[in-house]
Formats: sequence, structure tokens, C-alpha cells
Amino acid sequence: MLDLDAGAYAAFVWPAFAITAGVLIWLVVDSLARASQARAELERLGKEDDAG
Amino acid sequence: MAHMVSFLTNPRAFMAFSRIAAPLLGVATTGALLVGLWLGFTAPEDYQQGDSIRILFIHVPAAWVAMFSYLCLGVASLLSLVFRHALADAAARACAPLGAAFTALALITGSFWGRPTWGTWWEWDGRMTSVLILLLLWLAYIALRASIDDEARAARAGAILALVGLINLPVIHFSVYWWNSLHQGSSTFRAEAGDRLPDVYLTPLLLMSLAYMGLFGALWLVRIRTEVRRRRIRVLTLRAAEG
Repeated sequence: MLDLDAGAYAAFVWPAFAITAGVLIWLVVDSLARASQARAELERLGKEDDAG
Repeated sequence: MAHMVSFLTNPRAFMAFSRIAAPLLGVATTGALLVGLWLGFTAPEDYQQGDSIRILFIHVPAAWVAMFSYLCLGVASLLSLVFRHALADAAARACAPLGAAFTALALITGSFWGRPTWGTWWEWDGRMTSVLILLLLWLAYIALRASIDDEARAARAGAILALVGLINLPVIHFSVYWWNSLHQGSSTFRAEAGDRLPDVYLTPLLLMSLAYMGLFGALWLVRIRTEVRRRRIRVLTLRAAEG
């Protein structure tokens, strides 16, 4: 049974999960955004991205 | 072994491999994360720690990945320093923001767990202080590399700092045994029978740890790919400037 009621510990459990989610999502978004920028820059320089 | 070294020195082979491996790791990570979270939030609350036990599922994996990623930085730095492999240095540089983030998460989630469990957000004991030093090492590595324009010199200086910092890893691991500490010892693989986590907590913990390792692996590959491209862009830009 799913238990999302952290009771007296809610003030500790949910901020810990929220900060974790925020940091992990930021890592994914930042990594993909930088990858996309680098690909676009190579294309702008007229080089096919033949490195993969 | 020779094949592995040749793979590590060959950016083209790495790019072909990582193009497939990164998304596959991403899919595996998502699966492990979803099942781990489900099992974590369907597990009964602990008889002593109540619902605060659920912080276990995000704190311990973050701490494991924090240490594992620094070991990766150390190995990449050694290969970069000794063999001057460009890809090894790209791997070292790409690892740093990820390692810093996971180390910060280990400290923050530990603090949110420590307050209800120990009655304090922070204690200058061996485990917490050595993990804080790990975070400072990551930040120093990032700052050092950013402060040197010459990429070869930045790689060398960063590698030396990273290798010196490796001494902190056994200190973190053994800190709870060497010094009196609020932090508990191992309750997973090396725990004695009475200290071992019951399977109802151990299973989601291991799944979440796999998810964190998978996420680190996938993002590391993505960031190494970006670093390889960044270096290529730099060479092309310099060539264009030289006419």
C-alpha cells in the first residue's frame, strides 16, 4: 500500500525528496542542453558531426 | 586490456559506443528509479525512525555515487597524467559537475535525516566532515580547471589535485570505525547480522542505488561526448582564426 503520509516527519522527508528531484532534473536538463549546444555549434561551423 | 586502452584513446570509437550506451542507461535508470520509488513508498515505516527511514533511499545512493564518481575522476586523471590520453582528460573534466552535485545531495539529504534522528542538522564528526571535504575537493577541481587557460596545464594541475584527493575516499569509508561518530556503520553488504537492513528496505535501496549509478553513467557519457565536441569546436575555431 502506497504510503505518502510522512506524518510528523513530513517537514524532513519531502524537502529532502524535493531538493533531490530538483538537482537530478537540473543535471539532466543541463547535460542535454550543453550537448545540444555543442552539436548545433559544430553544424554552424559547417562540420558534419561525424564523431558520432 | 589492450583493446580497452585502445578504446579509451579513440574518441571515434567512444562516440559510437556512447551514442547507444547513454540512452540505454537512461532507460534502465528510469525503470530502476520507478520500481525503487514504488517499493520505497510501499515499505512499512520503521519502528524506530518512522517515515524518516524513506530518506535512506535517496541519501545512501547519493553518498555511494559521490564516492564512486570521485574514484572515476581519480582513474581518469591517472590515465590522463601518465598516458596523456585526451579522452581520459575529457572524462575527468566531464565527471566533476556530476560528482559535486551527488556529493552536495548526500550532505543535504543527510542533514534532513540527521535532524529528526540525531537532533542536529550537522555535527563535525569524521563522516560528515570528510564528505564535506569531498565536496570542497570537487569545487576546488572545477575552480582550478576554470582558472587556467592553457588546457594541457589545466589538465595536469587538475589531475594532480584529483589524485591527491583520493586519500579522502578511505577516510570517508572508515571514518565511522576510526572515530566516535553519530553516523552509523554499514547496514548493507558488510553489516553484521543484527545491523543488516531487512529486505523490505534493502531491496528499494539497491534499486535506487542502481538508478543513481545508471543516471551518473548516462550523464557522464553525455557530458564526455559534449567535451569531445567542445574540443573539436575549439580546434576548428582556432584553425579558422589562423586563416
